[in-house]
Amino acid sequence: MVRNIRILLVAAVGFLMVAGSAFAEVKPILIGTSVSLSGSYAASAKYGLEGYQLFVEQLNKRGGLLGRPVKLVYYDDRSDANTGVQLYEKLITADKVDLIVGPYSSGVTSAVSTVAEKHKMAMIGPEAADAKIYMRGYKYNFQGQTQAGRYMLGALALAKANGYKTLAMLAEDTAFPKAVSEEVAKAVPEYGVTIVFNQSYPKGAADFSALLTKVKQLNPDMIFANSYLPDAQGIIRQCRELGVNAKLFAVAVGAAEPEFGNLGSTANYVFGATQWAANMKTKGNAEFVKTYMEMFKRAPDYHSAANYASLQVLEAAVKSVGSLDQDKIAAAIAKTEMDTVYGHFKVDARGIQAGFASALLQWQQGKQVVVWPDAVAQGKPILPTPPWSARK
Amino acid sequence: MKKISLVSGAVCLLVVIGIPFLASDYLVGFFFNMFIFVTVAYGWNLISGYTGYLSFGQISFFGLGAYTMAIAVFRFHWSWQLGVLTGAVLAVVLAAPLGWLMLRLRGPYFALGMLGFVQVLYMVASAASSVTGGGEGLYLPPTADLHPLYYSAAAMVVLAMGATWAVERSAFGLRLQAIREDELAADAMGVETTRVKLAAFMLSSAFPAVAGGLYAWRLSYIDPASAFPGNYEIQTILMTIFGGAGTIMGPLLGGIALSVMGEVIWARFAELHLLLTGSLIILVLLFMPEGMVPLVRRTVARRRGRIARSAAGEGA
Amino acid sequence: MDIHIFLQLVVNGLLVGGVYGLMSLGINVVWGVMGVINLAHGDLIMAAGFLTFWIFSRWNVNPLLLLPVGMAMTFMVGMLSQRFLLGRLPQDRGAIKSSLLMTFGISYVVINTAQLLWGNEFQTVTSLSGSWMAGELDFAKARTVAFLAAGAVTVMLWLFLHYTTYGRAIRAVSQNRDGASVCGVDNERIRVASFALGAGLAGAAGVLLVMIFAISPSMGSGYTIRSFAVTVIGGLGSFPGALIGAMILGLAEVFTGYLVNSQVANGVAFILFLVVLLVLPQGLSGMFRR
Repeated sequence: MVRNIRILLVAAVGFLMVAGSAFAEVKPILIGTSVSLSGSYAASAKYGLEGYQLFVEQLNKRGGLLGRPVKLVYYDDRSDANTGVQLYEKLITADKVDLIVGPYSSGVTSAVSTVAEKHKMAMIGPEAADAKIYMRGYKYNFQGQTQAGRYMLGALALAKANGYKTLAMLAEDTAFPKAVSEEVAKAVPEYGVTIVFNQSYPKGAADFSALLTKVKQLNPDMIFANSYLPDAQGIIRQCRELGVNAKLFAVAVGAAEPEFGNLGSTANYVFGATQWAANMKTKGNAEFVKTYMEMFKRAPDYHSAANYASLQVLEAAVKSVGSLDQDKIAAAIAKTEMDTVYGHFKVDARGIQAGFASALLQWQQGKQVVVWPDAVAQGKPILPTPPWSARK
Repeated sequence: MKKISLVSGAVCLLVVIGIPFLASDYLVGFFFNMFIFVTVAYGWNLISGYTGYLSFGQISFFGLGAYTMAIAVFRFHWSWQLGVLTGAVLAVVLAAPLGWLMLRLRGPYFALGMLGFVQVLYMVASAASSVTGGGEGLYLPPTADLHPLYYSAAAMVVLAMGATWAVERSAFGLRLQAIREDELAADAMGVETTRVKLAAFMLSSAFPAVAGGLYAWRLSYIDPASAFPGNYEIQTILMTIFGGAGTIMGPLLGGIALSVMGEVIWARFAELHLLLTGSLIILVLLFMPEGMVPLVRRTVARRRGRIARSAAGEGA
Repeated sequence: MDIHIFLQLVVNGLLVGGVYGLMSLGINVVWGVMGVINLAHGDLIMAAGFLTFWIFSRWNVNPLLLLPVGMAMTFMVGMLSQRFLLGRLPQDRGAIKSSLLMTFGISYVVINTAQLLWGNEFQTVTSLSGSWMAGELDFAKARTVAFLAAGAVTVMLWLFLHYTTYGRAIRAVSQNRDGASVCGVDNERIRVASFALGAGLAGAAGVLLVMIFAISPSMGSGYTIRSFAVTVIGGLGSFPGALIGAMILGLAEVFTGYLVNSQVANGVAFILFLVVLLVLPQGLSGMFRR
């Protein structure tokens, strides 16, 4: 018995050694990232992860990168910036990954961008809309998401077309929503719009009735909620409860998610920014949507597409360099101009995204309809929004 | 016995000094984080472990230290070392009036009063956006070199242990423990309870403040949520109780045990993280409410007793 | 500020205050009887809210009908916690400390269980939208219904405490434990009952809260602190005090939000709480006692 085990052991060790040397020849290229699998960003971050996974799967089917298979290594950052820093440190120094890509949210990205910079690893951040991250003179960080300033351009264009003059804005007091408010404030003169109310509220606030009572008194033509999903829902719902009317309601993030429809009829007429839509005629988009649905049994959202696109760019950069030399890869990304599923990728000298555009959708009869820009529009915007008292 | 602990102490110190030369950046980062936790835990141990005033708000000093460092660097272009030290000084200065007000409260009133104080600081940090950057936070230059941070944090642990050791051996420490056992009786016996408590509170505020400053410099980014991380408060309380509240070695042992456990087990079961932590709290309270140190001490004593007994038996 | 705006703000403040009142009653009962603060209180509120959302979104049941369901669930959790965990802690000088930490451990377990069952996202029940108009004033439907339901639960609790044997025993223990014991009250059983009752009240508050606001698993501790703030403002152990405290907090939040900004409004609970704690340790109700 003991002897049998010993023989088995010897055989096993021998096998492992042979197998090990065989595998050593095709050691995979490791791509590292952290994902907010738990914590407050979990829902959206999951879509992003699936974008990465789909791309890696397809890449391997195509024969991998530089003739080697590719493997995605990821850990859960709990939606926490400090954990993100630890994990990228671990990915780079302990797991010795060959390439890295960004995590979810402007907050976590801004923290881990310093790790990438310190280790001189090129990193595209596909979920960081706040351009301030890239205004710190970093050389290895690139924005892979539409910059915050573009989210509300569609709503402003509609304002101009319809002659809406006054705007009230509410923003969550965090990096991304505040950036949206600042950029809108800069852009409004061009559109003949004046801001009559512009205030922020702390993360986690649930009762917006005091702010909305103030807004109601000002009777603005438009109300923008620069918020994430839960607050966007809360603000629109409380507008109805307090009879706060406007000709145009728009939210920065939230209306693009299917969950916004939980508001029922209250969701109708609300506009929302989206950076991507399944029907967009971007390069390879239809194929991307189809394969994504096959692999994950659900439709992708814009996070899936953004993460997928960042790996498209990374692949192109590595191929053009022909090695894993990070300095050269960073230089290549900085120069890259290419059409991805997410749109035209192009960064400026600081690494800020200059290519990706934004679109606008509206909830009409319980469905999301892309209404701007004309090139991708599925329908016409319905304006003005009727007063709450005239709705059922 | 003395000699053994001296030797083992020296060995530990050598290992700590040597780690950055031998280990990867990742491991150095892990130890840095552990030292930060342990430093905060020692601060908590001084006020809550020795004096018995359970505080749920020591993290307020952590945030104060973090913001002081960040503002000093970001707005005044000071060196981070100076910023961290300023944070510690400010924390002690603030702790005086705060402690004077708060330490009149007892039991849950004090615990939750301190928790409320954290919330007030959180509010100030998010409202005073012209200074603190509000909810958007402040970005600092990236920290290229981890080693100075690592050694600073290690030094803080040594300092905190030294301070705790000095307190425990002093009359001051005895007075604190008298307050913990029975404040009325201590008062009756002539302990100036208010002054003694206040001194402990002020001393205990410096450690989380330094830890917060180092942490913020390492993160290169500070916002209200990362300056006042509620889970750090809980982690450090748990570490202290796990190791043994009101002991010199407790926070260190608990800190090491829980950090390693967190790294090895919890990193793999992220979605069960809170469930495991919560269960651990419950189990510790039910089965080893005094922590590791008394348990170890008892075991050692028992074994020594047995040896002594058997030696006596042979002699007879 | 014109009178109409003023009245509208008062309405908004009072409607939210009603739910705060219900939130704090559970803390109040447990504190009164046991001298323990249940740190899992807010998480039980959250859990009942999620249960309500889950049943509502699945079978489209009127959330008000789920009040007994939510209460029953948290009541059970409370009963088991007291019976098997809190009740086993040694009743020595460290009892307050260890019970606080124990309820904290329970809080983590509740949060994680909710995450596993219902996910990490924010959820809310939106069955009632819009408002009723009374003159020029908007009474948000969901908030008004929640306010009235909170009032009904409060009245029922009062009747229970005053007119049932169990309720009287609970009040007796909270007034004088030894005296009650001498009169034949089974202290241990009453402790289990009142902890479970406090948890059940948290459940009721959760069912109503999810009708008004979006909730997420990690938001429980905010409710715990708020409930405790209300209780301290009104006076621990005082029933009318808690309700007055809740109304004051509701009004203070709405008015600071309107007059100053939301950041300060979000923290005003804790400012009030600290001020009352330090100036009037007995709470507002202490002012009216001899």
